[in-house]
Order: sequence, then structure tokens, then C-alpha cells
Amino acid sequence: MTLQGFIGIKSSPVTLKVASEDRAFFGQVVQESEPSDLSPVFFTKYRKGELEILDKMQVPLKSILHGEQTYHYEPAAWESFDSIEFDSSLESVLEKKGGSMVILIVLTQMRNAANQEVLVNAKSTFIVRNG
Amino acid sequence: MNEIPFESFGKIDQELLKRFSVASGDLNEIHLNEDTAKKMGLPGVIAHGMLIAGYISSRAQSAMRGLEGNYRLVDLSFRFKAMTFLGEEVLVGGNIQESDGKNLKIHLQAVNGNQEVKTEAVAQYTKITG
Repeated sequence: MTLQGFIGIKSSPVTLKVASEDRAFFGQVVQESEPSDLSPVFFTKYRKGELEILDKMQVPLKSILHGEQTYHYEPAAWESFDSIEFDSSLESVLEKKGGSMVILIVLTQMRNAANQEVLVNAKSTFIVRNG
Repeated sequence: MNEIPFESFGKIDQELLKRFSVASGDLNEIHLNEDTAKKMGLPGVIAHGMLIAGYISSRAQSAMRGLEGNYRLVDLSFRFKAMTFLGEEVLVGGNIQESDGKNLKIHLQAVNGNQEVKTEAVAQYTKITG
């Protein structure tokens, strides 16, 4: 299958508990100045669906560079939640330079597992180097 | 436009990358093992892009605390321009642009000690109160 044939594939939804100590530890490592604040980048922990997609596409990790990352936060992201449910999907595949470079865009949605409220929509742009 | 002065987040070392691997769940060996990184065609171990992103978001949050009013972060975007290696210092700074009295845009850069740009970012906030 060509890489374009994978457009639309999804990862399996996964639910993970969010421990307050995990939030605090993440904030410490990235040097958040207010220990009680949630680091906006904490949500990177819930992008593992991307790996499932890249694995299905058989893209070797060593050929991938992380080009861009965006997060769109809904108001619920800043309220309390105990567990996050997340899944990812391949949005687009763009070949450049005669196929020696491929741009993949993968979307991830993170939801409050208790009530399915959307917390964050993430978009990851990967650059795959071929050859 | 208000300047956000550059602040140092210290130097990248292997212990820090181990801690971030645990904190983020990204256990890719290119961040943890020199031999693996070199086998993958890299000059050596590289810092996680999301660690640098984490520093940038921390700088954005601390800059916002100096402003009047309550704001909510709506969008955060990062463009990874260059890899960051062991021993490099990371500094983050930028500027705040007030757009329409309700929405704010912060432009930030992470650079090393030689002013080489590693990551560029834009954070957008919307005012809730004040």
C-alpha cells in the first residue's frame, strides 16, 4: 500500500489515569514556576496513538523528524479530570522532492474519560526522510 | 508590543533527559543512548523536542502572570528548527502582542548559548476576566 492509502487510519482509543504526582513531576522537569499549575505541554503524554499509526505504516522511527506540534485547548482542559481517553488519526500524506521527503500530519483528540468532554486537539507534523 | 526577556533553563544533560523520558512517556533511545543515537544517523543524543517545548510553555506562563487580568491558553504551536544536544544551554524569550483587547499572542524562541534558534513558538490566550 502506498503511504497515501493509509490516510484516515486511526489508533485504538486508550484511557489512562492522570495522577496528580505525574502532573507535578512534569511541571518540575519543564521548570513551571508555579508548582500547582498544569504545564500545557503535559498533554504530550497522551500522543502514543501516533506511534501505533506510524507502526501500521511501517515507517522506521530513525527516518522521522518531528517538524511541528500544535495544541488547541478547550476550556475543559483547565478544569479537573482524573482520566484521559485519546486516539489519533492520519490526516494527510504529502510527498516532496520526488518522494525523498514525505510530510505526515497526525491528529490526536484527548477527552475527559468520565464525560467525553474534549480537552485538547493536537496536530503533529512529521517529516519522513527516505533514502 | 512587550518584550519577554530571555531566561535560561540551564544546560541539557543525560540525567535531565532521563527525567523527561519518564515524565513524558517518550522513551525513544535517541534521547537516552549515545550509541543508539549514532546508529540512527545522529551526531549524538538529542533532547526531546517536547522538553524544549515544555520550557517555552513555562516561559509563556510566567510572562502571563505579570499581566493584569485572567487569561486562558487557547492555542500553542511549535516549529522545531534544530536539534538540541547534551551540554547546550537553553534560553527562552520573545514578545507579547496585544491584538484586540481580548486576545493575546505571544511569540517565543528557544535558543542556545550561541543564539542559535532551536524552536519557535506562538501561544494564543483569550481574556476571561479583568
